[in-house]
Amino acid sequence: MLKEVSIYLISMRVFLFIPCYIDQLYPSVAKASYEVLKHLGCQVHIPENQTCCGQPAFNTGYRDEAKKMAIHQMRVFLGTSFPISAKEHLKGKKAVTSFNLDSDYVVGPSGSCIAMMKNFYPDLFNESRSDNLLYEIAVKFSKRVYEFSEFIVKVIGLEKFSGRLKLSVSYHDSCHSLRELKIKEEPRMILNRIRELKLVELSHPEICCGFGGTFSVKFPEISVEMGKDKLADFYGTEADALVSTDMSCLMHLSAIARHNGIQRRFAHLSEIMLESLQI
Amino acid sequence: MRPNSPGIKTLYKKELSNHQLRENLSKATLQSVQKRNKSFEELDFEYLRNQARQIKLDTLSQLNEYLAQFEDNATKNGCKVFYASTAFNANQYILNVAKSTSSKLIVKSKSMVTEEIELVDFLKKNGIEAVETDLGEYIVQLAGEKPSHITTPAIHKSRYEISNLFHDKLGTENNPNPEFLTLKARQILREQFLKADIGVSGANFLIAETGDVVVVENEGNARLSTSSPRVHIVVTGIEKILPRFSDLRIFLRLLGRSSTGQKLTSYTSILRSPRTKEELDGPDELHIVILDNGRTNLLGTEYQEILHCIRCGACLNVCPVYRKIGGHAYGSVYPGPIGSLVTPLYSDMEKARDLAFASTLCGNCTEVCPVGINIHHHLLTLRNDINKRHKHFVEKFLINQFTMVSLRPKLLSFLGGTARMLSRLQLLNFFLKQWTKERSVPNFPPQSFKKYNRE
Amino acid sequence: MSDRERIFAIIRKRLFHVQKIKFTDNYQSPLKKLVPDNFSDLLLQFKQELEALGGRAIQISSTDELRAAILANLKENSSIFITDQIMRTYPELVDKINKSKKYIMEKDLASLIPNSKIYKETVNSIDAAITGCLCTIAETGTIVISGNSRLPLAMAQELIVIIKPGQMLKTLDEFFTGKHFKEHNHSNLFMVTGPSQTADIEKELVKGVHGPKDVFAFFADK
Repeated sequence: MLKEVSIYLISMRVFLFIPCYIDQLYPSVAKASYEVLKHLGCQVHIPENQTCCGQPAFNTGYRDEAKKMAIHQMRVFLGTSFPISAKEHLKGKKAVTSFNLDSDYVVGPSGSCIAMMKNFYPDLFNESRSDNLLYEIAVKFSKRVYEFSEFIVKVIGLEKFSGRLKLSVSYHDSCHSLRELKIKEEPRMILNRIRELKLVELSHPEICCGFGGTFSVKFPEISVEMGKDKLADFYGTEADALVSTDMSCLMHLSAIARHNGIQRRFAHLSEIMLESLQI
Repeated sequence: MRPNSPGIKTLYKKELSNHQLRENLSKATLQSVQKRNKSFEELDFEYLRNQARQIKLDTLSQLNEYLAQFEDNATKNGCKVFYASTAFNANQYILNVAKSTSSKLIVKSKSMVTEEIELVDFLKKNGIEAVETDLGEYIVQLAGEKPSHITTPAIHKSRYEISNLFHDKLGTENNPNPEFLTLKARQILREQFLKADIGVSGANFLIAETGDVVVVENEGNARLSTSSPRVHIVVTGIEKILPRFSDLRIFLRLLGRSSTGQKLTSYTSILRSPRTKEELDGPDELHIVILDNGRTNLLGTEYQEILHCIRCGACLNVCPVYRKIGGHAYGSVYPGPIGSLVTPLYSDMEKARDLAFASTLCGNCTEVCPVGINIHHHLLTLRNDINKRHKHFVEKFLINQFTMVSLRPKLLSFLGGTARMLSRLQLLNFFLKQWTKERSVPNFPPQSFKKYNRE
Repeated sequence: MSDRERIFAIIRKRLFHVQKIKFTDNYQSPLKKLVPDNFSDLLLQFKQELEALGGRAIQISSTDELRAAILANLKENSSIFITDQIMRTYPELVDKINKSKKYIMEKDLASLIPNSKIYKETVNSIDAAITGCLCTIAETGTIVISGNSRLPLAMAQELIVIIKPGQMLKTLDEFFTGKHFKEHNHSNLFMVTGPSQTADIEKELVKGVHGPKDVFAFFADK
């Protein structure tokens, strides 16, 4: 009885945020995040109508479009906690879920998207007075948003996780995780919890991989050269896999590696964790 | 600054393909970063830069008062203060001083502002020779090039290139030893210091409280330029003002370390007045030209803190994009992250689009800025402003479409699935041209996560 | 409208809605290490700083020792410049009998026309310059000089500074907040922190570019 009560008490409600490109291109990362969070005792919900956090538009300098996507995203996650106008009520856009702003969490396997929602959503609605209500919602929402590794270490508690995987890995600090969310130790702490896993540091883990969203196609040659530097660093460690909290970085790096015929593994932290749980 | 001159989009590919340049830049910038980091270990960097920020906020919010105070004190000290709205007016004033003192030869120490106003070219057109005396500047002047870095102008050149240059232009023996080359430059430039009629320098700081002009350097050429000729002209920007003498304890602790990892540079000259009656040498005239040239555009805007910049070059040293392409690729006087802000905002808004997007917004610049400028956020703001001002129709259309699709989850899923299928059939390759130049297309999975989850 | 009027008008207009901010100085030292209090520890810190930069700091307790130490580091046939102030304090410094050294006194230079060709040529021939200073700063190994002649100290290959007791400051804070440093009556203050140097060629350090290659700081006991 006590055990059941305690399991119920530690069971947090997590609404899994699935970055749009992960949904379409790297579903295994979403699957891994889901399975790991469940394994660690969370009640994981996946809002069906979530789409894009708005970062691509925001970073390309289109704030108004980013705002629209932010409103949609917050509405989807907050459910009935998101105030909707009478007009929208009449249109039948009724929420299904109900998000508790004091105890529920939004967790996502992407430093850049989470940084968008956590650090920049409030900023989006800070310009005009007509956005006041949305600004307040965005502030409350941003406080419930966590990046995957950050959530595991700071909220769930690292001691709840243990795994085993015989692998050597190197870790790349994605710029958004490192500088926007100040995440540096958490992924490393998680990797160090996996028995038989060897973590080899890059010489320059903090230098940008060169992806930069639209930068990768606006200045492709520079983007690739920056990626090659990071890859050379990785190859130099002789680790089996390069791990990160951001699949966008890994997508860019793996694409360069494959183009040059190099077969190496590029994995999201959640995928490594899932593998180590051997479930 | 340089309207209609080529911009980064035209220049970057050539610079990127220069392997020697890339090797030089990589080695030099990584070394500077390492030194910088080490030098801040013994200090509370966050505290210092916050102090610096507060001082600059104070200064700019009452800029008129501090400028007037500086002018008052400097004038009382015997200096002549001249305000210039434009580069042309600044150049004209300096030319007039040269003419009225019958000057033919000028020795110059490093000053980004003089690059900005293109002083040397202007003087040359008017029959006055101006010799760069900072070793790096001297090298680029000999080569007929522009400086490629704020504090290390010849960072893009190897010792062999410099040795060849000296051999070609000065007739020296071809010896790539840095000590040999430096000694040669010392000998040649010593003659110029002794002969020159006017010395031109920049100013790192102007102190309102005392009327002091502060010049920092490592070589000693600024000391000689400002002490040997009979006339000294300072050329600087309105934003260089600091309120108090004591503010220097904050700023000098930040400047050397951020720039080269030094606690202080070898020489800090705090110049107050022309030669006094008791002194045996020093200039008889001290002119201070204070330039606007677009700086006032930033006052009262969200970009105002960009005027806090102390021109240390730290953002250039950490920028992974600068490291790949170097200063010349930016096609502007001020390169690197801060340059991408300063160039469009001071004057060249047409260059803004390409410069603002020539960044991954990694934020390393903001992390190291000693005065706390949120550089990468300003680049993002600039992107916004550009899109409002000069619409890029195709891009706006695509973003609009994507937004529209993102508000309709089922449509997004459908299109995503279609795109994946088309990609697996190799039908999207035309659209992915910019990506596929040197990258593979990822193996798109047959099913999205959502679809998998539903089943 | 003059440029001055134009600039001030634009600034006034643009700052109209900007709130005036006053910097309040509740200053704490940004230095993580504890700053020593006694002279011998401060001297040690100063020595460490200056020597890391390639300079030398030496403590001496007699004028004979001083003269010997100075001459030991100079080449034969060196041309030595000495400031008035140093001559008055250490008249025994000049070895009148020794013909291999040529002494250029500041008072001799004073008879030449300032900034004249002959003045500059004379100064250019100086190999070593001996001067006093305003103060030294232990935190950074800095020597602050405010004398009556600039060029000899900036052109010579060797810069020799003789420092009196009581001239050692702990930190840059002490210097920049000290009233009597701010209120001097010279045309300038010259802060020297090590030898002249450059890394403009491939970031390789070379000393003695335009200014002195060697800096000697002699701390006199009395």
